[in-house]
Amino acid sequence: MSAHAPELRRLFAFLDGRLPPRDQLETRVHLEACPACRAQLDVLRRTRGALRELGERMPVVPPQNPNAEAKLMQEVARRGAPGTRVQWWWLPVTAGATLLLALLVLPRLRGASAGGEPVTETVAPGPEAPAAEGDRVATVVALRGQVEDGVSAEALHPGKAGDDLPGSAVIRTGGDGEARLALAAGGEIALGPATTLVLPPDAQGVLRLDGGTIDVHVTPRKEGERPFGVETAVARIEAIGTRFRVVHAAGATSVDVSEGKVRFVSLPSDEEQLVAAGKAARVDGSGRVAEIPAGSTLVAVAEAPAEAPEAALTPEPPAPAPEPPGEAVEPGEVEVPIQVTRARGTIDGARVRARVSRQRGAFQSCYADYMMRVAPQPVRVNAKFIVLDDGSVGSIDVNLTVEDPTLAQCVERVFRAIEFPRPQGGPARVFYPIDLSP
Amino acid sequence: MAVAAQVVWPEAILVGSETENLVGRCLTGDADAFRELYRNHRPHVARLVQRILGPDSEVEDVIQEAFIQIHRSLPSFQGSSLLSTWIHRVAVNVALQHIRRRKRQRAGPVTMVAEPPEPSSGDPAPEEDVLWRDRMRKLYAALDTLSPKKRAVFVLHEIEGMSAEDIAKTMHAPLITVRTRLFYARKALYALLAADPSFHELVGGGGG
Ligand SMILES: [Zn+2]
Repeated sequence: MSAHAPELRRLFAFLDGRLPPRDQLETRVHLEACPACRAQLDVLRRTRGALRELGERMPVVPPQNPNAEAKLMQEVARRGAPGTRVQWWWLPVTAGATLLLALLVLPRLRGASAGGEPVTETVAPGPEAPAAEGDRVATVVALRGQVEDGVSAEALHPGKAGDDLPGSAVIRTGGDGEARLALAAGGEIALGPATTLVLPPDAQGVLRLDGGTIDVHVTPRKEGERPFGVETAVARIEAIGTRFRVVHAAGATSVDVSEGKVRFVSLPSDEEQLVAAGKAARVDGSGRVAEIPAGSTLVAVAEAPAEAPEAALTPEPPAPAPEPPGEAVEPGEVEVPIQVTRARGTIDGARVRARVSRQRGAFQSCYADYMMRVAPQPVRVNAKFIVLDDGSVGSIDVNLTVEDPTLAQCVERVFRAIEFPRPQGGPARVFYPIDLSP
Repeated sequence: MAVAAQVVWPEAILVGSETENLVGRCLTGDADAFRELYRNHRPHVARLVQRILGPDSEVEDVIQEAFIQIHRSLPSFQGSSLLSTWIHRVAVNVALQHIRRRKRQRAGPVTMVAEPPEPSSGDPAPEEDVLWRDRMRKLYAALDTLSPKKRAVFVLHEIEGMSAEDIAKTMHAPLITVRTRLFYARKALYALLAADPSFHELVGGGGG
């Protein structure tokens, strides 16, 4: 083999001193013999040094404008106590115009997304596997052909049914191997041939698929639990209670969903997509997410090259394309509105309620998305807004009991899209709490 | 669908540690408590915001905005992380939001242009400072080509010197995601910097 392209991932890990001792040594030996890698490492090291130096030359704390504190305290006083300010700020102004309404939204995520029966079937856990205990993250339920597992990639041994796998353990199937795991957090994963899967440090963490195919069946997550997550070199998939297949081969990741839906995130580009049952999508090193025909991952399985067990580190994905400029829609935005409108008007509460109720579906989908991304836990939305003379929404302040800018923004968008009845006597203030629960 | 008309406000304010007390006092509208929180945390918040934004005339405004957001979001602080971690998370988010807004306002992608260094107003800066300021500006022009999340991970790791573990806690993201973002950000940024002549002497030719 002639001069090769240096493997950046390994060089960065080496630079950070994060390689396991054996790999560290191996890399050192390789560097002695390989001028290309040596030169590359040198550039990385110098660049890191330059960045450190830049950091040190930045002022430790930007000088404070002498008025900053006074201005902040003034602004905070104007806003009142966090979370309770409504009681004094909203009520006295126009008692008749202030509405205290609550809308209880009860989405049925599974029923709604899969369009069928909720998943009632449960995965039989490992024979002697009760609820999560100790640091067991998964148990090998069944296997066939060549399967190895161990606490790390350096300590693999032939696997057998009943093996308890702790956090960060590795399981690897050979070209003819297959294995089934029961997850301590609920759910089951079937590993296809030539697959390497790294378990998360704890039962709630994200798995890593280094290569190969997994079929995942996630049981619904309990309140407060993180969604199930699996990550490859180019994509992350999140789900709460679904069935799907993930294939990672030749630097590209495909997901094929058979039940429910999953969130598919391209790591090179941060592009995100919800993939629903009967759909499939793919992302490669360019970072672009493309829809692919459902079932086409079956072909990918057959084509997936058996990864040599010696390739301990994740294979270098193809160079990612430059990120899309502008990033038109970036979730995670919270506007911090400063109330300026003087609201004196009155508005018909029953009609406001009717208009908002009509958007129940939209609120549900905001919340369904939140449950997918975060956890199926109850959320209270406190929305305060001003309805302008023409019935449109002026300034709006969406406060949540959880910190989730994406949900707040989604809710805000729904409110903004509503055409309200015209208020009388000028803009009117509305306070609208919504309870969202799974 | 059930429509309930009652409003239930979060009332559980724990009285325990000093932090919880401070948060509890802030939640009741105690201005002195919030002032204390501000004074305790401003230096670190300012530092994070400044490093994420770089040379930006609005650093001070963004710090201010971060504290308004902190004040506003205090009811959602549940004590599952340290107060400081939570405060830093809000600050990082507000800084990123500022970047997104800024990006949207600018037309088209930002290209790295070798601008001449600003004529220094008032006291003349030593030549070396001018050089570093120029590098700083270029670094941040390069950072503008990254997505905000990658930019944050890169800055916190490479410039602020935080560990990937601490970044994961601060940004409330899985460690593996932080590592992956860091990898792509480094790969892109290191290539850009290595190609830039003014970094070349740093990157390609020994130290200073
Ligand atoms: Zn080499």
